[in-house]
Amino acid sequence: MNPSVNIASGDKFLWAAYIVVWVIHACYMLTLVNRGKRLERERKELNRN
Amino acid sequence: MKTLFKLITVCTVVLLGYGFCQAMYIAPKEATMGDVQRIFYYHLPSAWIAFLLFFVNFLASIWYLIRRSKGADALALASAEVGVMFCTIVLITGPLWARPVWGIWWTWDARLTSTLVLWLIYVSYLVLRHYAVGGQIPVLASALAIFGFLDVPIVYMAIRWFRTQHPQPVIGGGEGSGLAPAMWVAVLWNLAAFMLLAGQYIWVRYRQALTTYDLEEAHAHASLHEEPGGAR
Repeated sequence: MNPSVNIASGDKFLWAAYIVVWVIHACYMLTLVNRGKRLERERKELNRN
Repeated sequence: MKTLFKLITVCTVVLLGYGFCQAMYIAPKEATMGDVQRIFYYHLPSAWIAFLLFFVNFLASIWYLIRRSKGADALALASAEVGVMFCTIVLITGPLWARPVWGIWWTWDARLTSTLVLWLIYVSYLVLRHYAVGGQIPVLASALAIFGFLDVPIVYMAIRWFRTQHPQPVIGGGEGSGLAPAMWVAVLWNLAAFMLLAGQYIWVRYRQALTTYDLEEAHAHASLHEEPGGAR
């Protein structure tokens, strides 16, 4: 373990954190959109039958 | 309703954009940690929102056990799912902040460990809801949610009760803790923005859960009225 604190390298961690946050949100939004489309399709199929 | 949703979406996007500017460019640089401390402006609001959503899940689960309300069950599911998403963000941004500041990604101190346990409890709740079959699943899930919520106050109090690597709380943390007023502005803007976003997620997921119930009922109804020889 390297106990030295390298604050100067903190920028890449900062950007990594912000990017990860938005990737997680984007994935969740995509999940919601896909689920919504699937439910809509199922509802239409049910109405047709 | 769609117009209102679109209006709220515009407000959320504007708030998120301004919150980002506050966090990255307007809030002052922290004296010891430097710019990497700005992770805090996403880390803290995400943690508070996760706690709030688990509390909503707790209340909705109690309501479901008392009234067997479909709406309460849908709200419990939606709040757990969105809460897990925010808790995941906390668990990922935490180590990304810890590595340059502490020199380690993770340590098994009370705050970090109890947060991981909290995440595991609600992931197991979602796994139960997704994969288990049977009419009693919402009841079992509600019981799990009610007892699982007991971990939230433990997570919150862990840095007060135990000596931890995690910093002291920003509110009521005693001497030497707390935030500069300019940092509070960035925290509150991001908190407002992510609260609005979480509210939208909950709304969409709640509606989807209700639609799923309706579809399941319609399928069950249709299969009951099928002619006996029709399925052959």
